[in-house]
Amino acid sequence: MRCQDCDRTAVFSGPAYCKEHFNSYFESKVDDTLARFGMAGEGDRILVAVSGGKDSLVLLRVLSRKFPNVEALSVDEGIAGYREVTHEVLRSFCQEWGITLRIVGFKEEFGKTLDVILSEKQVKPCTVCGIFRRTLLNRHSQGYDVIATGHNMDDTAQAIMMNLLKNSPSLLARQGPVSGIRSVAGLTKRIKPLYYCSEKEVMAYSILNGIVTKFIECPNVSEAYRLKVRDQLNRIEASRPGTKRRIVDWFIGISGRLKESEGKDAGRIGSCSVCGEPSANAVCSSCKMQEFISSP
Amino acid sequence: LFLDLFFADVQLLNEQFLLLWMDIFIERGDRKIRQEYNGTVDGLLRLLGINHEEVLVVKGDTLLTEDSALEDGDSIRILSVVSGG
Repeated sequence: MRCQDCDRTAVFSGPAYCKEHFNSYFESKVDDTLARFGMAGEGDRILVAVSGGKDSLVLLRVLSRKFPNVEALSVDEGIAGYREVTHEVLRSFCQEWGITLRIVGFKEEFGKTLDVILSEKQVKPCTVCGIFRRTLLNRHSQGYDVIATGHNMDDTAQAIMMNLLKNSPSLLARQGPVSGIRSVAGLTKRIKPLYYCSEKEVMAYSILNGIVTKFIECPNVSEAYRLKVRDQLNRIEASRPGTKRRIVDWFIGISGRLKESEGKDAGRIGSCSVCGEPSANAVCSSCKMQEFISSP
Repeated sequence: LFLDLFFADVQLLNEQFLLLWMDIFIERGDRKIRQEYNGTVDGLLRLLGINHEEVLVVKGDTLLTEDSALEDGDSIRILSVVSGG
């Protein structure tokens, strides 16, 4: 297969590009997404939420080439045999590219690692992890203009389908490329610059540019409903290419009306009566979870 | 004549028992297999029951497209694309 822009052998198909043209295609796609949704501008202080996986490392690399003020933040949930491996990759990457990295942990911030919480309580790991990670990312991104996450097009298509299948319009309304844009004190604007990049494209960029990651699955991932949706979507995509992109395009088309009907722009955000951080409820999910994990 | 026959035998053995196999590393599950195969990347993935949406195939340092030709004696890695949670 030849590159569609030159005579060299293609290294990626769908679209067919050689290494040089694939890199241009991928970086242009990220640039277009940043511009289309007004994600970040010159001089912005950008904090990238990183795990050490391919998505976050590729995002960190692409953004640090474009913006001078990029730093990295990672969360250590305390998952034995998993997070040590990804953090090792992350430390080495940040050292190589001269990027400042901060790591904050569940144990230091909430008093217990995820492993300990799961051994003590009957609770879904992804629920605890999701709530606490969101809290820490927002807490430690104060003073930055935006916080960028490595969510790619596959992640978004999966989230849209999961919320459709669960009939959760309020959660569906949150799947946009930018969130936290209301002028609420203490809520950092969150952006997803890889919103239109497929997981396969991200992986190809990672390999072609020597961004070394190590495949390791979170030991709790098998419990996630997302896994089933992901496999089904990949099967459909294989026989009907472009399916994931059409799902995301459909969502973008209706997201304005959906947010309106779900009251997401109605300015209902107040402050948690316990911690004082932004919350739509009197007590935020993080404080409720902390109370639950501390209870006997 | 004896040496000629000896080297011809060695070459035959090499072709039949060494080069007739492809070394394949499958990242997900950390598996190494040997497979007799001549055909495209896409055909090999079908044979192994792997969805091409979920992997990238690498030979040495080169990414291969689905129509790339593979043959016995090749050594390839099938890398997982899906996130690890």
